[in-house]
Amino acid sequence: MTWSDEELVAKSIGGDADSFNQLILRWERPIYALAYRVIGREEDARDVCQETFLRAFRALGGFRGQAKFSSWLYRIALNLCRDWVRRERRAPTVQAPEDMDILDLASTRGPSESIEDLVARKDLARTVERAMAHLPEEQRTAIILKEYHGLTFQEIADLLGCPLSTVKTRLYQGLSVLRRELANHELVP
Amino acid sequence: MTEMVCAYSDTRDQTLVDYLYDEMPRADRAAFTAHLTACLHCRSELEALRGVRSALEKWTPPEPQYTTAARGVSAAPQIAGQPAGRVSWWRDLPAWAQVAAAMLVIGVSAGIANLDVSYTSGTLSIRTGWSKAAPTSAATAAPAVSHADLVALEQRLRSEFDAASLQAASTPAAAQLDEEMLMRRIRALVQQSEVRQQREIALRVGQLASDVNFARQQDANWVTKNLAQLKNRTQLTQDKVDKVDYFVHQASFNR
Repeated sequence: MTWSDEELVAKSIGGDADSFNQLILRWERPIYALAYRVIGREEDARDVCQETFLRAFRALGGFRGQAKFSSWLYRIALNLCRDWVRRERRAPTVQAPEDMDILDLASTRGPSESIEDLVARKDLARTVERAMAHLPEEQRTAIILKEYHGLTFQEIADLLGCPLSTVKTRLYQGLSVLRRELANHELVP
Repeated sequence: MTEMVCAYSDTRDQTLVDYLYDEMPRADRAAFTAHLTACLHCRSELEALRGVRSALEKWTPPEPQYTTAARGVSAAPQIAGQPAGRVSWWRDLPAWAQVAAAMLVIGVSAGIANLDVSYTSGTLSIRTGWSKAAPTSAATAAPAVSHADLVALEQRLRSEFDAASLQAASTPAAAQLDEEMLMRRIRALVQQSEVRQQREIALRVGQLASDVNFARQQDANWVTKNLAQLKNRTQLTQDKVDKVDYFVHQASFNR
């Protein structure tokens, strides 16, 4: 039987540690991906991910269920990412983990994908990563939450604590900057 | 007729985003679709933003090399289906053997480090010295363990090993099965490693080819650009020469 997040939270609060482990297994990858895309460093993203779950575990008793568990988790992770950016006082670093990336991509290569296609895909991914790193933090965060986590405009607005129209404007501006950046590489019209 | 400049309302940018992500009421969507058929500006921008979204899909973060759950935020038990943490071979040894091994390691380390532990006048002192010769005084040379103790330990070791051998022999089929499984796993790991290496080599070759092509294209662009500049300069020089020639010719004609 698959428990919902809220059910697992209730069981965790009741002392069932295994339930919290299940929540970690369910949300670890999205939280890590969010942290990585926001701060751009693999090692720091791992730390943020771990810290997110640690804080969530400690504050679980205070979770009243007004928001979805995932939104609550995203908020913790985003706050930690914001702290990281402020602490580092810089834009996200574009990390180029060449070896990791190659192996990672090689392992995800489809059976019909040629090496040339794979290299092109890798180049494109790198270009996108660099273009994203040029965006202001709020635009980058809005795009990440929308594109990679499928949140609605309203959910993003709630999460970031800003009006709905601001979210849309940030998305539009961010996508427009990306468009210009990618057009320089002839990747979009 | 298509509009070159969009005359949509002030909320045009937001509406474009709504449309792009398909998060708008059906009626509004239909209205904007009708606008798109007439507005080239919006249509081309929408197409470009779709291209951006398509490019964004290609960016995937690297796989995390750990799991928080396996480390355990809490003292939670292992979850079914979750890969178990690495089990050390020494966990299979009896407790006394683990202690003996630890003592041996400590003893050897202390020997190598020339560790000198003394307790005199109620003070415990520990000294290390890699270059200092080990003390050879009669007091420290006194054996702490008697011969009888060593014999007893040897007997105990033998009996433990015999018992372990007997246990292994009593289940030969299980032992053989374990061995087969182990060999199968090793073969699978070796095979995976070879495949990864082949992929990596192929990928690196492909990347190298891509980099070379890029560099070649850059060089070609640079040569073309410089040639054009050179040609332009030559033309300018030629113009100047022609002009001078013309003046000289005029001057000589006037005379």
